[in-house]
Amino acid sequence: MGGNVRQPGLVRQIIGEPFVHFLALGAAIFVWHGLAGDLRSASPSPIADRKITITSDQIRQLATQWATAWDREPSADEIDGLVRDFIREEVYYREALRLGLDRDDLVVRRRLRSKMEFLASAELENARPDEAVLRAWFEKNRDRYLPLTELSFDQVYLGGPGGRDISGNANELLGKLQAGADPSTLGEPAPIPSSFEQASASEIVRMFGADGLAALLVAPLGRWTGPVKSGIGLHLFHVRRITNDRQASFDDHRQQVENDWRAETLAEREERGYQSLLSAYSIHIERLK
Amino acid sequence: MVIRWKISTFALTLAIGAASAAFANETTPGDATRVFWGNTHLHTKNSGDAILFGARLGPEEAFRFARGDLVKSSTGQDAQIDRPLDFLVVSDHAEGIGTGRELLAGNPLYMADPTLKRWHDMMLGTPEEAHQAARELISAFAQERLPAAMNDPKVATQIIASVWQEYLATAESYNQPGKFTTLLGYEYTSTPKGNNLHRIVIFRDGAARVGKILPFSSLQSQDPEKLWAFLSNYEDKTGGKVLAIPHNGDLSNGLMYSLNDFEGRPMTADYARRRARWEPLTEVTQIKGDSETHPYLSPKDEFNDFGHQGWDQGNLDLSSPKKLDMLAGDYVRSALKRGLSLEKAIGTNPFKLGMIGATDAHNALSSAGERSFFGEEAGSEPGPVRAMSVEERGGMIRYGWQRLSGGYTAVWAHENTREALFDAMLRKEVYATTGTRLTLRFFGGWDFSAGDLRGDIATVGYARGVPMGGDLKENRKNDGAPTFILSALKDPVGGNLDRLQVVKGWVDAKGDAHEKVFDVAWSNPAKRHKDRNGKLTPVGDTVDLTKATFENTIGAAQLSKIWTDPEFDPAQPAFYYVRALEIPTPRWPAYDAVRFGVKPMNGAKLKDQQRAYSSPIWYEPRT
Repeated sequence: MGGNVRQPGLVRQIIGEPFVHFLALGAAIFVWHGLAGDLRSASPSPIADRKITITSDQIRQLATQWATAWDREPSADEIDGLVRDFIREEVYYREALRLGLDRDDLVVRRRLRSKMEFLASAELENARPDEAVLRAWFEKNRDRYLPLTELSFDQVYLGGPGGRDISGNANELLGKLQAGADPSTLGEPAPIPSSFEQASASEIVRMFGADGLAALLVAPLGRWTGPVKSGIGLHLFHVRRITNDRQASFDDHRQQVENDWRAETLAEREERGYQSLLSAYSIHIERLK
Repeated sequence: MVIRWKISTFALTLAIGAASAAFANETTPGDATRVFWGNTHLHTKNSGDAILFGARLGPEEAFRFARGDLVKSSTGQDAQIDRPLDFLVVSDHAEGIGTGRELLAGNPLYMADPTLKRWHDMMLGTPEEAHQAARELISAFAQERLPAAMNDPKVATQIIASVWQEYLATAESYNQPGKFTTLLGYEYTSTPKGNNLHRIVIFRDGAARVGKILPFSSLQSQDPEKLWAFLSNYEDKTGGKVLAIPHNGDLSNGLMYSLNDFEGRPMTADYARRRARWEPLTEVTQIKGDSETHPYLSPKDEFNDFGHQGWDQGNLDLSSPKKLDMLAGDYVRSALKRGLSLEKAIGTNPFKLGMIGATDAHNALSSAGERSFFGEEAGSEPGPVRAMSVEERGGMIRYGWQRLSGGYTAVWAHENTREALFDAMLRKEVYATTGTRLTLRFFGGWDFSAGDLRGDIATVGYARGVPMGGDLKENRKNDGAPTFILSALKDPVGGNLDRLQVVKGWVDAKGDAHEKVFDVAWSNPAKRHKDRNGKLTPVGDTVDLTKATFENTIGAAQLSKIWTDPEFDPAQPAFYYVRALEIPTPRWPAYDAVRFGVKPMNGAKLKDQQRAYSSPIWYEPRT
């Protein structure tokens, strides 16, 4: 784990789940070595001895958990029962491991796998990354945060295939428009505006299709032109302004950068952790007969 | 069962990306010059049923997918939306929100219960075991027999509060005013005896307000009136705004638009007022069927045969079959008519409903549209046999191909923000589509004439009339009939338009309701005419099922018309809405058949005319 990430709640969160206690050691090894890239020397902690010690911390924790579920403190008898049950579970658990019962059990396999995946990700989900980490990530992925291309333009709809098409009158309409006629009073009726202010490329694609955007991007600036074909028919276009700023600002995208950093770093670390574990194995796959 | 939430104990510490002040203005009528596309109904792994059916994506992936990012689906497939959406409501079931997730994770608060422990193990077992666990849990929910730990308010509240907070924080961090809006919401899942009375709750506010409450669920009460009381309390307490949207009347067995209240008593004016106040819209179309109308209710409607097959067999879980006399309480056109009749009888119209469409997908992926349908839940993500699944109970059968690809909501607003979108929903300036993104305008007034059809029709529409969702004030100039502007443009990558229709409903002097569908504008008018019975020449069909293609050589890119009601009677209350029909195009099972090289099931519907429904405009005589 990089020193740039603060980790507030990891340990507390995991301790809340008793059945992961046994995993704690393995987990620490996984997080420490696995992600540092060296797990080859680590082996699972064997449960060799037959000595069980219940610490006062463990008893307190059993009592707290009971209280959470029942909304009152347990009595002394009840605590006694909790401890006895805990010992019973521990004995069965160790004997089951000794007998290798965990190995062929689908449920155990799946649960252990999901715990391992969880360990790789839990920390990051709560992490508050340093500004410097985010800025570095932003610089590396700058292209993603470039401001959207925005177009301000007017249009007159000349109709489309299957409906009325007045593109034959295009020259006459162009004349009127160049003389200052109001575009909203000309052309075939349409449920779309005659004037767009700072419309994004994706908004234009949704309304006019990719053809429409392509035509607008190459149209001459500051004068009426056409007829031009789009995904919905023919138009006269008057492009007033195209903003295509190549400057991306970190401050404008801070939240988005953090979201993206988290989602992608998570996937990356999960994969890296897995690959590091995998690299300690040699794998042979029999050919299908 | 009553759960008393201890709200005050949930001090929320949410990192709230406050909307910039520039976007916080109230909407001015007439400013709504842009159409924004979104999905108002989507489930993620935070919904108990979704995770049981295999959903592994949460709200974050849902937002990422909707705004256009590539994500890995629950079944490990690459998934990317064909065109980004402008807004999304992640609306997980309030009933034990997050409890399925915690069940899967083995939360110790649950593992003490043997049944929950068993379900947990089954969820981790083979797919068959996981599916069986899902069936058992849903059945226990529907029959109100959930294990005690799940119903224990203390346990439930802890889990729900933490998942709810996490969801709100995620939604805040993905909300980008002006670019991509995450409206906060959830689903209230009232299902008495398997009859669907579900509502989507949508807030205008951010997490600072919404974080002060926990979602009111049907575990607290199945009676929607209790939900309205909760919504009212929310507004009083926080100064926020909220609305509820019923969906799937088609699965309610007559209850959704019943003439009675939840207890079966005849509706009162007070009930009607509150219902109209909290439920201004309805989700008319989604994956589990289209609820506009039914052949039994609208036998003279030539296009009544859309999206009801299979769904009209019974209620939500097929625990009870449909009887014909239930249909009038199930479908929206009938509800609009009932609303007029009730207004005449009790003085208030409870069903003054605007129309929206949504998906209701349970895999966190908003994927309406026949070519891009990514499934209803993890089990129906793209694959060769998903159209051939069979759900059978008590002789009632639903097939996989009967799922629709899901609808979208189009909102006319001045900017893409929570406030502007919500305000447009409140004033019903919205329309539903069955997944296509055709553009539709509809204005009503008293003096529109053919000369008004030029260029940008919105200027004229707002200046001299009301938009979709509005009320026609009585004509004070003369006794003439109302006039309407209809204007539609095809989806730039979709099928051409066949026709625009006006659906009118009205009540006569006796209080009986009637309906009629008028063909108003159509493609190729030189060759297509109405016959002696008023039936228009069909538009034709260019679908090639062997390749799953169609040609836009028929139909029109654009249709517009000024229409005057030829049968107007100023004494009769009425509603008018537009139904826009596209030319026939392949349905998703047809695309699947070609993509996966499989033979479609016998009887599967492989092509259809996709459509849009405007919110109605209402006319009310002077009293």
